[in-house]
Amino acid sequence: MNSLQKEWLHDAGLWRASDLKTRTSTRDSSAQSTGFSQLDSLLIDGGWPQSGLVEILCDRYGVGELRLLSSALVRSGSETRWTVLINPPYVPYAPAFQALGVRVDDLVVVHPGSHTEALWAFEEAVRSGACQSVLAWLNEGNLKDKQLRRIQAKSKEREVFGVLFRPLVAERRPSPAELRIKIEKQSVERDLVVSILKRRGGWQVNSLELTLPWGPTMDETDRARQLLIDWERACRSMKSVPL
Amino acid sequence: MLWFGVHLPYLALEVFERAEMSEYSGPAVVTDAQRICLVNEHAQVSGIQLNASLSTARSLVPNVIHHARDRDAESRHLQQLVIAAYEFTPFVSVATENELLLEMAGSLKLFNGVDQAQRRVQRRLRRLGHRANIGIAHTPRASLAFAKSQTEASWPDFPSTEDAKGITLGGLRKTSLAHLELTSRDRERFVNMGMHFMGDLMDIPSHELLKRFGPELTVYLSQLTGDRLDPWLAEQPVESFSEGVHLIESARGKDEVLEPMEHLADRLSNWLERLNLGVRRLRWGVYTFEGDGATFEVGFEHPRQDVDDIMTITRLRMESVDLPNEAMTVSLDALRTDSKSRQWAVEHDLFGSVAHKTPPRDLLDRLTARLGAESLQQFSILDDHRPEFAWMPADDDGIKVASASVLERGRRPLWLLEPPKPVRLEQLKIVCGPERIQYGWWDIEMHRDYYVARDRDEALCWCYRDARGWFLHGYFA
Repeated sequence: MNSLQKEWLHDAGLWRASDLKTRTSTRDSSAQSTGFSQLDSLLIDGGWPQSGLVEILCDRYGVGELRLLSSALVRSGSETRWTVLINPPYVPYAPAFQALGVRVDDLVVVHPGSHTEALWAFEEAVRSGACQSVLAWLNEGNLKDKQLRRIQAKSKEREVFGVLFRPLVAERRPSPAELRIKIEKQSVERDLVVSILKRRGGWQVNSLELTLPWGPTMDETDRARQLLIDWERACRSMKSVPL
Repeated sequence: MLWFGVHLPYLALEVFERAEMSEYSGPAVVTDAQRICLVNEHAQVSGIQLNASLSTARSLVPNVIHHARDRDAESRHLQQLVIAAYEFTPFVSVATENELLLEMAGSLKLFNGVDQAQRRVQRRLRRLGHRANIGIAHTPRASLAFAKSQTEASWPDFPSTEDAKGITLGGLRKTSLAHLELTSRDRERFVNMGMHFMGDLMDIPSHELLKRFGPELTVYLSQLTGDRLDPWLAEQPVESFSEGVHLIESARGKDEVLEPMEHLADRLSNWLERLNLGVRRLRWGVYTFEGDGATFEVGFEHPRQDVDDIMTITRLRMESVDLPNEAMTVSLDALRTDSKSRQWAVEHDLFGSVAHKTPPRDLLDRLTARLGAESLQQFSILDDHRPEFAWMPADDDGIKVASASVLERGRRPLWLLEPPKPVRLEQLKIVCGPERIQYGWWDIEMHRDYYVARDRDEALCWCYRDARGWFLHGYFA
């Protein structure tokens, strides 16, 4: 092997199939479980990728995308690092993040003025080495392949867990991400249905059913509905009472 | 005691060179009351004499650069040099309008002896754009005389008091009277008597000198030799930093402005170092010739002292600032400083074993500088039952309200809608609840029943009903 080839092989953007075998055999050592056993068994690291870009595809927000990622957000070694949210669609509610296990002191929300600045902030956060994870909601229309490749390479190189939230139309666009997960739907019976569009060391997986933390139980639901019905009935009867 | 006398023969000219950020390569003179009071080497070679008039100088060298003497600028520069000199010793004193005194006995060990220390001082001054002569002696006045006469003696690295005295007296004997602070009348009288060196005076019994020349001279001479105490007051450092640079040629574009800015940052860094402070907030001003321009502030999450740190963040900030195209004046004010040592102690544990309590804040500085402080948000948790008041953006100063422990309070959504969005009950399927929140009668009263519901897309959301109807308040994302 000449020196040039060696150099290529050390490049963060290249990996060999034989790497996967060693990865599989040494799994569990440093892997970060996703918190969902079905998902863990499908991923080469036995959990979330240690570094690099993960794409979550969904057309609307608030469907469970953060609870899906929760184990990656609370991951923390002896030293804490920033968790940066770039352009989140809503206000991150600090007490809930705390309840999830994220240190609120380490949470930083950035609202850049433009797409370029958002990309810059993403890269800066990744490059600083002070971040554990960077979550970004970027403008799909302005997102170029080159930009995607760049943030994937940087996240990989600096060992940062980067997450990009994209709309479903992005499914048809090729992506350099380590892992692409599409959120199909959320439902009463099955909680969250996802598809893995892309993963290392395996093919696409469709319709994976996950049970998210904090989901309400059936008993609770029945009780709540009954209470509401009773309450409204009481209101109506109060209105009908002649004064 | 070991004194370093620093003589800056070209200070009056150097203040102009520094302001214009260039060193003259042609003849240049400084005039005071229409008379030339300082010439540089080029002017001297061209034959321009001191005390000549400017027109005489012009007739010799038509394109001579000349400045009217600016004593204010000189004293300001001298103050800056005092600040820079604190690097070497805590005792720095301004002796005359172009001389400084540094008491170095206590610092010799730090700088590995006299020679090294002298070289360091010289190099520092050189870097600040000053040519300096340094004289070393065991008395302040002798050191100044040596600096002026450029007397150099060979010093042992760590001279004892006896060594210092011996070398000083030996040097003084050979020092010409022209370099001593004598009145011109006295000097002339000595010359007429055929006495040209200090040694000649030292051989005369002092009571004879006292009789003929009066007490002032004998006091001076005994202070020179160290027979009489010669107390000096050390300069006290200034309490605030506010400086500017006036350019002779306008700086076009941001790249050219950076050079004087770096210069100012360097001075700020010196000042901070002396006071063991770090800067938390500073203000740059860039002005055109007409005086209008732009100012912008740069903030740091923790106190900074290093030039590179200051400039890195400044550069990022500059990208989003509109500056005048042609800048003539650049100014820098330190708006807020903090003791650096405390922060330093936290971050640089002696054994390097302390885990980071909070992640490094450099990233926040960089983001703030480029995107503006308003685009960055951090949170604190407050102990309040009302959802809107249970959190708040963290304090701008980085002094955080201690996060209250979150009470066990049922489910809370990760995404919050601010303000809550009105919604119709038909759009929701209640799955859990209610949780009644009734609180805050003393300020903003809240009376709500919260439910967890599923919306049309089956997403779990947090909604409430109060007197005005149903509202959507968040998503369990």
